Amino acid sequence: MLTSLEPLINGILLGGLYAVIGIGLSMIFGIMRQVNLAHGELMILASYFSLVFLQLLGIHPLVTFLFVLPAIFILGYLIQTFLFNWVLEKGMEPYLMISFGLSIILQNAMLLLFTPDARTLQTSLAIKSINVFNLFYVPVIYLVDFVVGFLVLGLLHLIMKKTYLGWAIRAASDNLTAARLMGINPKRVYALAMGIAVITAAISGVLVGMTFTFYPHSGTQYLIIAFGVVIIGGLGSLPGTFLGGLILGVSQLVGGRIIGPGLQLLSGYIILLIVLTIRPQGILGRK
Amino acid sequence: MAMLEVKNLNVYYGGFQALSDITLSVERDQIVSILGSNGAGKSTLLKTISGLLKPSTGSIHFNGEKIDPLGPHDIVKLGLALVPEGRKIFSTLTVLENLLIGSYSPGARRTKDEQLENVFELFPRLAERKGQLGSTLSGGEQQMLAIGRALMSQPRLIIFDEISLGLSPVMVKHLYHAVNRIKQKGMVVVLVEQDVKRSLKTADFAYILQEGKIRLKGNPKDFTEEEVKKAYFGL
Amino acid sequence: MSSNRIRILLAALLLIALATLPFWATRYMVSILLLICLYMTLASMWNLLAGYSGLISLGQQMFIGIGGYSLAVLSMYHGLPIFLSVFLGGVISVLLAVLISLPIFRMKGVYFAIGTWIIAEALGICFSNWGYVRYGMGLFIQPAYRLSMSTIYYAALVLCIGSIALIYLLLRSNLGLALMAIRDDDRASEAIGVNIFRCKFTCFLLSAFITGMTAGVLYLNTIFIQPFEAFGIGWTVKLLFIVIIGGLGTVAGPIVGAAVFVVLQQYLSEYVGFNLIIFGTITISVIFFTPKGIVGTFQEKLGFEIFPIRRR
Repeated sequence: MLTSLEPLINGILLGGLYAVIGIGLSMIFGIMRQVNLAHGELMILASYFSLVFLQLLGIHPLVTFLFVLPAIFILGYLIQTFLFNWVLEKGMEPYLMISFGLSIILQNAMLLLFTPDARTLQTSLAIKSINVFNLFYVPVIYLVDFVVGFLVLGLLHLIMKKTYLGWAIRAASDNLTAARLMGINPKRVYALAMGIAVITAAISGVLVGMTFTFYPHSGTQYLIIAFGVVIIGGLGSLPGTFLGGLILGVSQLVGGRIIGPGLQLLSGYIILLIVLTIRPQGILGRK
Repeated sequence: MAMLEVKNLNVYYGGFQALSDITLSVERDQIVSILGSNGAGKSTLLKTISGLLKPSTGSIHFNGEKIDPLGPHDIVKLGLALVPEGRKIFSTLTVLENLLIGSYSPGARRTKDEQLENVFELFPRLAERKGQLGSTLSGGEQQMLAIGRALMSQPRLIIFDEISLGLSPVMVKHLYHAVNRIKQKGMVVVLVEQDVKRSLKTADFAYILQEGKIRLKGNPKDFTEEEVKKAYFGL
Repeated sequence: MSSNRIRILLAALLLIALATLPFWATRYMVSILLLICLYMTLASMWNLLAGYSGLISLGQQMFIGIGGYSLAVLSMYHGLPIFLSVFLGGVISVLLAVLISLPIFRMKGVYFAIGTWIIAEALGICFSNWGYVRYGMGLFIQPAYRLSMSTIYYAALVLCIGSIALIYLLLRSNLGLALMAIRDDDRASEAIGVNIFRCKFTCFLLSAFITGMTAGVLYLNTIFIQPFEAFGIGWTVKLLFIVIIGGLGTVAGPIVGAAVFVVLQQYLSEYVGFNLIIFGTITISVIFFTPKGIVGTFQEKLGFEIFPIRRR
């Protein structure tokens, strides 16, 4: 009986990682009312960045954050400045399509540079697990995912509540005209927000790389997970995103235990479609 | 040299001319009133001065610097603040956060604690409510917040757009009292109003707009009632 | 001669050329035109949703997969005639569309896009875990070996011309008028009695039906079907590319776009790996510099429409 706790506990731990996968997407939607379809590719790009530094310098994947995060921040800033900022006022379609085009470009560029082989960011953590009361095992890496995920969300919360950048981001999504009158340059704030959003994506990308294997086309799968998290939790809501991550993580692992591991992803998708049908704005989201 | 100089300003919305050949100036140590009925062009004028709209022709100088090509975020940095019509406070931010975002420009950030103290002294009500969300305030409190937020940017000139709209007479009196204290602190005040009587009483100099043109200007003490009516209503 | 007569004459010449193509052209040319016809039909159906009904679907591949698998299963396992199987693929696609319409039409804008994509992904997972269709290994559609290239070509040509004529007539009908009204201002059009749901629903079903059938013909040509390819997002990428460069919300857009796409793909096939990067870059550039696409830009500059759908 108690062994059935295993997928539940692991689902919750994995949910912490899922929340970080979704938070960047949620942030961008909350601020600009736009959906960045290249989110998953930017995530996987960070996994490859980390792999490159890991192989060059022989350092731990978590230490590669030192190089990966600044690089990906600059990339996000530039993408927003030179691509997305130009189509913000033209409605939903151009943004959606440009980000879609970007995801195709990134995916195929990664395919060229890194070949289609499966990769992983190897650490000793990946093979360790903790025996809980002789009942079941919890992989150490899941624990790391959860802790890092929780830290990222906490830090983001602090940035939003305690810094000028955070206030500016929230002010700009609240009332754009008034924000401009406060001396806020929206395009610059959007670029910085995108930089932060891709940093969260990059962190989740490195964690995913340490936990699972990844390919150049893995971004799609994680984009859908990000959607799932955000849709269940409501677009643009931080606590909702965390809850969304947990629900998706648990439903995948518990569902996978019941209907078979091959259908693990499917059970997540089904929960997602149910939420989308019943409450299109998510569980905690505002209308 | 005048604090604010607007010269031969023309602004169009598509084919419609919203402002034609507006010239006005605001001197230091003055309260200047800009009056006009709905649709006279007041809002367009303010949007153009604050950088939200670009003029077709004409120029705007603030403190000797040409500001008409600048965006609103750059104009705020130079010390020109606008308290917008309808308050436009950030409803999802707390009162304190609303005020702090007012000090967004780098120059204002350094003195934010001092500014915050000044605002709380001017409007003690805001200090009581500083942890509440902006959306929970009453109309009058929201107007106080909008004024306080503008003061946080350490402006040299502050423009109030329809400060009394929709508020009780007691609250309006209270707010005008605050306007006078702001002037005493050395800031230049511009009032843009539909409430003719009160703003003419407060102002040192007034402009009356109608259909995008200036119809009357001068010291309000020299205006006759006839003149004001004619300029305001076009009778 | 009036411009209308020239138009009819040119159209007739083009039709004759296309109809007799297998008799005088090379096998390679027929295969290229076959592809153009198929992509043109698929793209027109995506355009009917995205360009006219405001429904950006990222899940068109669900009907491609269903159409393809219907063909494979019905013709191989149940021995039905090939073209009946193709037709039934369209019918089953409509059934799927009806089934999912209840949840999917509650979703607006971005949510609709995401919702359709997730359904397609979920179907891909289901098929790759389904022993009846040999899991992810895929199926060889053996009955298709018996068909000649020109038979498949004619099937594609019929679908292509049929669907373009259908869209043209549809847009000139009352439904088309309603769609224009919705596109211009949906709240106002609802106020004057346009049933928005019914208009969009009709387009969605029609798009499912023709996409499902076209997929059948497409897999007659490809012969091999596999779940992650059939239900993959790659299809929508191609359709989006075609419609964007051709011109979103124009009848001729997908036609021009499909021709450009297929020809470009032939040239770029030498540069494996680079082709999708180039397609992506072109798509982004078009959105930036000529957001109306090739056809939209020409119509604007020359004031001439190949398919005038607004009634005068």
